[in-house]
Amino acid sequence: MSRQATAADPRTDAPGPAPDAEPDAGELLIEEISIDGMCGVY
Amino acid sequence: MSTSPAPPLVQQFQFGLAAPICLTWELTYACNLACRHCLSSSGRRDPRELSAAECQAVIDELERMQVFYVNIGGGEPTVRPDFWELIDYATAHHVGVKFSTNGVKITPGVAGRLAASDYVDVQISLDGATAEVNDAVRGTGSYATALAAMRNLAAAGFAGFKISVVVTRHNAGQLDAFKALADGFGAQLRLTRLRPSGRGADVWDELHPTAAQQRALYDWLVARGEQVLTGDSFFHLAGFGSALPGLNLCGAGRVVCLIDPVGDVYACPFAIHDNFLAGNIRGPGGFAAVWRQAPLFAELRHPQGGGACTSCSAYDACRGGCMAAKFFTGLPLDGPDPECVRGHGERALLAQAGAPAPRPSGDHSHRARSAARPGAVPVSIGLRPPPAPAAVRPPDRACDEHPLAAFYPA
Repeated sequence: MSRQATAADPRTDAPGPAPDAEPDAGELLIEEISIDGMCGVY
Repeated sequence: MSTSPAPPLVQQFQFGLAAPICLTWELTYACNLACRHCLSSSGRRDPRELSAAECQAVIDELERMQVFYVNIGGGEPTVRPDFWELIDYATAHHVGVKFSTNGVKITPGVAGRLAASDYVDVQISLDGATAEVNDAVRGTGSYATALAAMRNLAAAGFAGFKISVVVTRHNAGQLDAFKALADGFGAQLRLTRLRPSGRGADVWDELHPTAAQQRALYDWLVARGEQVLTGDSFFHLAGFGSALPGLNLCGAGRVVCLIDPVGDVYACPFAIHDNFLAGNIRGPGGFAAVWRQAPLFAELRHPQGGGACTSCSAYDACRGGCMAAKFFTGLPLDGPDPECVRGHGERALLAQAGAPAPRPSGDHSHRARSAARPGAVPVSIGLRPPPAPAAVRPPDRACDEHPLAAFYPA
């Protein structure tokens, strides 16, 4: 992980879905999310 | 084998994840400031706060759960004597750190050390682009402290640190000045929403932006796109039109949560109230058990009803707004956000005017000098008055009058 990952535009793959959800892992991995784009973190 | 595509991530998130993507961890209630809108009503340390060993155990658990990073706050987290050791421990255990600070401990030496780390991000709190506006909320001298920290970080070569601004009625007209300040330091501006949480409940009516300011803020943010971070905290403004960058999703208990200084786990840092308390990390199974088994979190991960809001054409955009903002203003959770851009929240607040709103749990504020506790007896403590002249002063002891007083020879 670099500062880029936590600072200017932090992006990462999600840790994974809930155990009872069975998504296609290949589909998930191509998506990225911005950590700063989730409400609930100040 | 099924080849049907997986739902988009944002839909996955609404049903929760096996581990939070990130979480807010308030390390202490101790703070050198007394900001009027403090979410956690911080000021005084709680004697039950997690020890260094307990904090390390939490970090070990977060590493096992593959939590990507923690957002550390307080209180002022850097006043904990073991703060820097805990930061090092987290990054050594593959848990990235961003911490929020008022800057009081960001000396040139500390700034240099932070700049040398690839795994630590810093967020300096500032609530006014001028000392006058900032210090009115955060306290005298806090603007100078924050600016000194920013200068130290910039001088140390720490590019991209965050300047975190809670948008209020008094600073909403300073957005360009904040952006210029951040650009000048090579920092990134991060605007977040004022919540009626903690001491923020006491100043909400006075400080939350007006409807006109909300509209201006939305337009300002739309014009700047991803140049300005918002923590997705303004998703209630999406009712104005196109969504702002972010998931437009309340992450509480689904992808984020809060661990408070005594180990209590809440759905989010804006909802510190027993109604949103999921458990404590000191319980059996630690944090993972709370995250995965707490009934409250299971409930939050079920589809939430939008109540009356579902008939509004903006509902798909705003999703009814912020749960905490509704709760602490006394509005129902399936009703409109108090700052609903269609005015539904304002009308709902008027309709329930006078009804008491829930009070935030816990108050760690510095004790006011004039505050009197129920049943307290007023006592004056001070220097003794100067001694009266010897001629009129009553004797302290009998022998002051005569050296042989009470001496009776046998």
